[in-house]
Order: sequence, then structure tokens, then C-alpha cells
Amino acid sequence: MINRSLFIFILLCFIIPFAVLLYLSVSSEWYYPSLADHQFTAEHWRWFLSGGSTLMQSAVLSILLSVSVGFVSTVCGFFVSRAVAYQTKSKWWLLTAYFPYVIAPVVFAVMLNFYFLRFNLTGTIYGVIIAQFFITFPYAVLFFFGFWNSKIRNLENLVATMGGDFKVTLKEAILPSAKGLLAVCFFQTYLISWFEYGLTQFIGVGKVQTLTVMVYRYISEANPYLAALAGFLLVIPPLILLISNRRFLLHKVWST
Amino acid sequence: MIQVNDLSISFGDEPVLREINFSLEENKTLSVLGKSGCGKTTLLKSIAGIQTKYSGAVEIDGEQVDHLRPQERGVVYLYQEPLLFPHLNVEQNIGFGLKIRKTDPAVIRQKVDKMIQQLHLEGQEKKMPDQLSGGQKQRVAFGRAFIIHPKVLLLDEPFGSLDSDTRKEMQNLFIEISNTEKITTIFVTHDLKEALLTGDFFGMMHNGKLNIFENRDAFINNADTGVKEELKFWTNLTNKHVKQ
Amino acid sequence: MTKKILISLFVIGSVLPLSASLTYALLYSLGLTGLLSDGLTLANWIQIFTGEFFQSMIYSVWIAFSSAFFTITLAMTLLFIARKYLNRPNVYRSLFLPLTIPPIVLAFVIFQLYSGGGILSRVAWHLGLISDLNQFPALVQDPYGIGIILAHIFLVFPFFLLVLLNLFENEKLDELAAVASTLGADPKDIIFRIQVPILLKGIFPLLALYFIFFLGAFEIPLVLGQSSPHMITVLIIEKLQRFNLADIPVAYAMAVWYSVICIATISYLFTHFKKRYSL
Repeated sequence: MINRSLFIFILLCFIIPFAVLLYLSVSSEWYYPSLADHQFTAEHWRWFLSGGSTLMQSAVLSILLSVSVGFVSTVCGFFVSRAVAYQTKSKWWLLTAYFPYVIAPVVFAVMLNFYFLRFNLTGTIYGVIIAQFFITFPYAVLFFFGFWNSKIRNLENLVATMGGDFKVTLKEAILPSAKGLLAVCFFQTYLISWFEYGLTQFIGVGKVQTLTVMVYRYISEANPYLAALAGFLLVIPPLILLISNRRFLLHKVWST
Repeated sequence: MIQVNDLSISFGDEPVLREINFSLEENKTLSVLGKSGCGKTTLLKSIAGIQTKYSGAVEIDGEQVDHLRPQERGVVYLYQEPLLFPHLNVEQNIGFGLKIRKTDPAVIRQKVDKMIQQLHLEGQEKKMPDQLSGGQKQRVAFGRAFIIHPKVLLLDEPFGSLDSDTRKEMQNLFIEISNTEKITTIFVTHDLKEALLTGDFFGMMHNGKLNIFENRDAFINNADTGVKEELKFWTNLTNKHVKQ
Repeated sequence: MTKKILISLFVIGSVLPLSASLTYALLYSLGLTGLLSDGLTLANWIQIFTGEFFQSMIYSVWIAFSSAFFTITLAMTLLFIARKYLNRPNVYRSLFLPLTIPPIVLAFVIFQLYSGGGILSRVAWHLGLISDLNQFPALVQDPYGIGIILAHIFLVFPFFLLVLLNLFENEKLDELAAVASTLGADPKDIIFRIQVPILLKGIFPLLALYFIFFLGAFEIPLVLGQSSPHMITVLIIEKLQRFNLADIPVAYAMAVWYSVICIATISYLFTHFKKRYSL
């Protein structure tokens, strides 16, 4: 009995944020102390879905940006982690990969900014992609590090002794085992980029208007309705990932 | 002493223990031979009170204990794995049962030191479980059980995961300590030699039923125990070797 | 040859950016480069241990500590109350829900729920508990960082619960409980002498890591924090983006100091905690 009530309570706590986002995104003139006796409207959603809205542009930009960052980090991280794992002193290289992971992205952005200004990268999409890559790439290296264990190495050696070159080894020995992990890493680096606000805002100086930047913009403009709409859009991809495979959501860098 | 009367358990429709009956005198060891899946772990867990859904009765020193929780029965159950507390060192693990009983720290110190000597673990007192070998861990598990002098000690293939040399060492250690500490023990194993070495009395478990033998000879001569077959094997081998 | 290229890529993509940025920030903070640079000086570094910056550090440590403490306490409590229930597939799955919410969105939601003009306040008004929004207690943008701590707990405790559930299985705490009970331990002894110490020992590296994450939180304190003191990251950004140029080197000193703490902590955890768990 107590367990059941506890579960219902926890579930309510978890569902409330989504409910609040949805509730506000269809609200209008939500003045104190109104709870349900204010105007409800589909106008914000209609505006968003009309195609030309700034929010739609933000959503598309966010998707393209996160997909790029996720893809490049995953591919680079996969091959680089192999090179790093097979080095003898790999433990210490691995430690350095943790540093960008633990430092707050916005602080990292602050310290990087001088170089980004120098190379005219501030305020540009490329600048934001590169800055986010500096965070997601080390993460991907950490992620794949545990994959390159003795079992895979032995498998690679086996294929080599049978006459296979690296392309064959990749196709026959490595990729079949790594497929699942590659997907998980892609989605996790995608989400790191998707959720990122501070670094994006600082390097993009407000010109690269991802969904997270728009959320804060609407908050500052005291427009909770559009902030809620943008927020709801932000939770859609992770929710889809949760339903399809919740592994995509768990960060495993501190594990064997 | 321990007495078990008509102990039976079924998991769903499957009977796991079928009317187990036996009694064991105080300070004696009953060796039970049995293959995996015969129900021996379930039997031991029932006696310890870890498994509670059984019918029948367990009596220890004349008192029925079925309604008692594990911590009240005075029965210690040792798994095949040593299961040491990973956050406590050797002497803390050994002294755990005494600490729970709020024994005087000076007395704990004295008893733990004595047990460490009996276990031949001098110099290892401060080590953590992950720093010990398999044999050392099992010795600590033994010490932890023996030091509180339980009414009954249940050993579930305690040396199963050890290599043959360490196993021999542990068998000798068990015999040494059980002679000193004098605890009523049920020792379950699938190793014939081990059963013969450690037991005062003998039993064989098969398909949920326990067959108790009158004496050592009856155990040896019974066709099911496999002793005769084993003897035949070694005799034939020796003869072949002599002929060559 | 390829290996050399890949290692170079690692250096360029991972080691170089951080080293270069830390170097620049350090030089700026020491007065050796930058807009108002006047030669080597420790004045900026001294300033981060006084006044506004020092207050911010203390405040950030308070927030990080409270967030970590309440997170682990809540996760442990739920673990022991309802562990078997939590292992049921649908319940287990629901623990992943908070992981789908970005921090900036959660901060916004918490504000809409707990602020004076928020949903809870309106419910209180309708129930007759208050007659004006100013009567509603300050739960966001308050001196104790209640809103920030709540947001942190919401985001992180389910993850900790998942880890604890796995740790419980991996460390065989049920079997250890059976062993302990046959040795005479009662349920209270089993929980507080055996299971909790083992779980705390196992989860300590993750807890330390999250302490650092809470310390460096940005989005949540940006929305839910008060105007003074700020948390470290918010203060750094504020100082860099305002008009007082003299604050910039101090902000860089703060950034370097905070980065050094992060690097030192992860290095310590990495070298001292070999045993990691799998999820």
C-alpha cells in the first residue's frame, strides 16, 4: 500500500514538469490568481507550426547543430579512443579526457572566447559547433574507451592473421560489436549539444538561436507561453529516445 | 543438538524437499553428499531460517525454532562464497558477530587475536577483503562464524571455489578448529573425499530426499555414494601400472 | 602513422583547447595580457578570496553540498523503503523521466511552480491559505537557494536511485544481509552497519563528481538564483559582460580557480577509485 502510494507520488512529481509546459503553451493572459479560468488557446502552436516562425527556425537549427555535433564527435571519438586505448600509458591520456567533461561548459566557453574572437568564430554556427565539439569529443573518447578491451584486440589480431586489412577488420570484427554503442554515443552527444545553453549563448552571443537560447529569451521577455512551448519542443527528442531505448539517456563514463 | 522432523518444501508444484528427517548429536559433524540441484542449499537455508516457507519442524537443543527469525536461532549459515563485508577489514569481519552482541571491546580483541592465530592469518589483520586470496577469505568467513560459537553451523560446499591444494588446507583447518571449538555442524559437499574426511556421521541427498547412514561403513558400502566405484577405479589403475 | 594522426587529433580536440584556454585565462588574471594589463600582479587572485567573489564561493559550496546531501539521502531512503517495488519494469523506467528535461527548461518549470506568482501560490490562494502573492514563502530566488536545490534534486536523484539499485545487486547486499542476520544482526544493524556503509563507499566517486557538477551549475541558478550572492559561474559571466573592465581579470582568476578545483577533484577520484560499477 505504501509502495503504491509512493510510486504514484513519484510519478506525479515526474509528470508535472511536462504537464506545466503543455499547460502554459496553450495558455494566454495567465494573470494571478487564475488556475483554470483564464484563456486557453492553440494560437502559440499554430504560430509555431506555420513554418516561418523564428521558433521553427530555432528548432530546425537546433536539430541540425546537434546532429552534426553528435555525428562528428561519435565518429572521431570512436577511432581516436582506439588509438588512445592501445597506447601503453593510456590511463593518463584518459584522465585528460575527463577535464573538459567536469568543467562547466559555460566557464570553458569563457576561457576559450579569446581564441574564438581571434578566429572570427564568435556569433557563428561553426563557432558553436566547434565549441560544443570540444566538450562532446572528449566525452565520446571516454565513452568508447572501455570498448577497446583485450577481447576486441584479440579479435582484431585474429582477422589480421587470417589476412584481413583494417577495412576488413573494421567490417567483420569491430563494427558488429560496436553498432549498439555507436548509436548510444551518438544520442548521448546529441543530447549534450541539445541541452546546452550557457556555452551556446556565450559563443553564439545570442545570434545562434537554438531552442535553449530561445527559452531563456522568452523567460527574459516575461513570455512564459512561448518559453513553455520552446521547452516542450526540447523534451520531445529525449522522450522519444526514452521510449525507444532508455540506454540512450544514461551517461556511463564512470563505469567499466 | 539438532532435530529435523518431516521438513518439506515445494516451489509452486515442484517439491524441493520431501519429508526430511534426521537428528544430530551435539558437537558432531554430519557430512551430506549431494549433487547440485538435489535441494541441499534449500535444506540448509530452511534450518537457518533464511527460507521460511516450509512445513515440518526444526528443533535445536530441544526447542522448536520455526517461528524464530534467523538472528534468533543461533544457526550460522556459510555460503560457498565467503561473503565478507567489503567495507570491514579482516579483524573487523571476524569480530562482527561479537560487536553486534555488544561484547566488551577488550574481550573482542582477545577472542579475535586468538581466532586469527587459529586461522593462521597473523599479519593479515588490517587487510581489506579485496586484498585477500580465495583461501584467506574463506578462513576469515570461518573465523567470523566460529568466534560466536553458534549452536549449529551449516556449511554449504564451503571449499567449492578453491583450488585443490587450498581445499586440502581448508579441510585440515576445519577439522582442527571443529575439534577445538566443538560445534554441531552440517557439512554439505559433492566431494566424496571431503565428506569422508570431515564427517562423524554421513548422509546422502538425492532429489529432495535425505538418506542417513548408520555409520561410516554403511556409507562406504552403499552403491549410490560412489565410494566403491572410486576405489575400483584407483585399484584398476594401480594394477595396470604394476602389470606394466 | 594513422595512430599518430589520431593521437594528434585527440590532442587538438581534447587537450589543446583546455590548455590554451586555461593558459590565456591565467595570463589575463595575472595581468600579463588583456585590456588593462599592467604587468604581473596577484591582486586579482587575492580579490577572489575577498568580498563578493568569496561570498559567491561559499554560497556555491553551500548549494553543491546541500544538493548532494539531499539527493543521496532521498535516493537511499527510497531504496530501502521500496527497493523491490522499484525493480518492477514500469517503475524502473519512470525513473528515467527527469533525464529528458534540459536544466534551463526545468529551471523555468520550477519558477512557474514555486514562485510567488506561480502555480502553487495560486493553489494556496484558492484554498484560502493566502490572500496575496506576497504572502507565499520565497522558494525561488531566495537566500538559501531552495529552488536551485530542489531543481538539482529533481534532475539527479532518480539517476542516483538507479545507480544504487544496481550497486545493491552487484554488492550482493541481500546475501550479506542473510549472513549478517545469521550472525545475530537485527534489521537496523543490517541497514546501518552493513548496507548503507557499503553503498556509500560505492557511490562516493559519483557523489563527488556530482558535487563538482552542482558547483559549476549555470542555467538553474541563472533563473532560480537571487541577485546576490550569485553562484560562481553566474558571477563569472556577469562580471565578464558588464561595463567594469577591472572586474574582467578577477572573473578570469575565478574561472581558473574553479577549473583547477574540478581538475584536482577528478584526478583524485580517478587515481584513488579503481573499482567502478557498471550500469
